[in-house]
Amino acid sequence: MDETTGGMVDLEDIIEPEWLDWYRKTPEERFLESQKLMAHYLAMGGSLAPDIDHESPFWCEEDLEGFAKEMKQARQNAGVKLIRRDV
Amino acid sequence: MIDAAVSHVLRVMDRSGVRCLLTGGQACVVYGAAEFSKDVDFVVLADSENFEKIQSVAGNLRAETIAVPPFERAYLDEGLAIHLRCTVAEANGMRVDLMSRMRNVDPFPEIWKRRSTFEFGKTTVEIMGVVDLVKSKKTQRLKDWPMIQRLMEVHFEENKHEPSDADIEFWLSESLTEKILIATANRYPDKTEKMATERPLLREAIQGDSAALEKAINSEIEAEKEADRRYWEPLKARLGELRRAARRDS
Repeated sequence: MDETTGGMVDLEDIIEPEWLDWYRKTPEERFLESQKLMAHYLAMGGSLAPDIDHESPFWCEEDLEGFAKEMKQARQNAGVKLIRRDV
Repeated sequence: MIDAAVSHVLRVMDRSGVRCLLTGGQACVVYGAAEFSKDVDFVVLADSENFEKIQSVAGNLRAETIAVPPFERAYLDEGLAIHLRCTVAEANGMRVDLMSRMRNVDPFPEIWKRRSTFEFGKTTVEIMGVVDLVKSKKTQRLKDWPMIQRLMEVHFEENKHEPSDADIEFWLSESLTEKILIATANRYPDKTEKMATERPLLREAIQGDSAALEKAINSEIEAEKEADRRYWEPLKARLGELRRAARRDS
């Protein structure tokens, strides 16, 4: 507990260390870092298709199948090949 | 140029004079609750003048609709989202979603008054205020709830040393973190007692009973998810009608 806040909880008490650095950046720093992450994500074969989210009210099964194909295509375009998987 | 795609969309929106607020994942990035988002979501004022500007922006971004409903103002009024994808070189592939009504969220003129304004370089970005953003994230989707938790944790961290009455009420109303709720209840027992009539789980926070509080938080989340499912039932039916109509027309 942080004495200076009269017993209010410290962020270190409630979140994982890897999130602390992110929380403590300025909004502009976060925005710039986010765009770098986006570029990295795409370079690694990520896709801008919507997530396959069966809980989303926006999409039907046909939409989700299309998004899955787009994701697979993005991986192929980036040269990412799946060579082994368990399930 | 894809790393600048979000910036390009925001810049085009800023220069257009469209009355809109950044919401969703990108807003969570700015507030510290997410690391990145694959699309850019806006809540927009859906009057005819503003919608003309939105259409102009869509033209500048060479945006195409990727799903129902069609890109028409009436569907925003119905509470549906319009899903666009940019094809302009500077933002190729970037998705832009537009809504004008969201469950739990006040009408646009009200949330506009509570917006946050940020400047990123030469671009001014109007962002949905964090109180409204939290309300908008109370959906049936599991992935939205960690966002709420993180939004609240960041807000708490940034304001815990000199909180306003509104800050304290915000934590007591919306926090999903047991330690924050218990610490706030300990520090502000009178306010917590008053607010417990609106949010009964605060009584567990006053008692300092972490286990009971965790259970109550989970129940609260499940109730909100169910309310969101019920809200979306007629809208999903409407989307189904529009899909069938689109298939007939194609």
